[in-house]
Amino acid sequence: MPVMPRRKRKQFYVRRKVCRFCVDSKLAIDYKDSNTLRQFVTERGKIIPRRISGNCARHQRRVTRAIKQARLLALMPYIPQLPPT
Amino acid sequence: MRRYESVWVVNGDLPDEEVKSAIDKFSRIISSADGLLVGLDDWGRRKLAYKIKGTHRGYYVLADYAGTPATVKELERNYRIDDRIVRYHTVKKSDQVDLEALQAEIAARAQAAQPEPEAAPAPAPEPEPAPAAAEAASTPEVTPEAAAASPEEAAAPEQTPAPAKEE
Repeated sequence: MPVMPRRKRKQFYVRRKVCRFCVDSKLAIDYKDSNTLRQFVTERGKIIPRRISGNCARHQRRVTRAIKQARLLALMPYIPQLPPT
Repeated sequence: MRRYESVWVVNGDLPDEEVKSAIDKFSRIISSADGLLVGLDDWGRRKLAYKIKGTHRGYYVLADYAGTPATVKELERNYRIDDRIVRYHTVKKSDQVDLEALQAEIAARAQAAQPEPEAAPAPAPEPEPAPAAAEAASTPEVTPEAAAASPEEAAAPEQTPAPAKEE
């Protein structure tokens, strides 16, 4: 984005986030699919809260559960090994 | 009978024979404990997200089976005894199992396992587009659309998944 049209607008507009699992029923939540689950985890390996991820309560619960199961199997980290700063 | 799936994480530092014998052992335990093994999905060696029992590598196998709660109990007892199993995770997929459908699924899996080696070499030769085109032409009855497409078009989608695997 070379031009920033949003700059003129001072008030924030809050776009209502929709749960992506509700929108696309083909999207499955699976503890074995760590690549999808990685989208719901911060760089530090923390689970992204619902107010940010936009998931509905039901799917957030499932995502959380799947992440925790994946962590147990060492498919996802509890604490990632970050490069030394 | 209930449908379960288990992920076994075998110590990845062990030689292949050891890993294989561990997998065989647990497959046998499923059958001997009133279970019915539907299929094994071998994920191979992967890097663990953190160190377990002093290693960073694990050999992952997904076992899909039907059984009773006693089957799972017996399996889990054995996971704890066996040092080669580093982690395990069992999930119940369904409470009821249709035995006939299960037999059909086992047969389908056995069949799918055989044509796979034939299908696998076809997309493999990416560097040379000429043989790939020749192979596509030699199997027109299987994929008429793929054969009809131009060789460049057929080669292009094959090249994209390759780097993803290497990562």
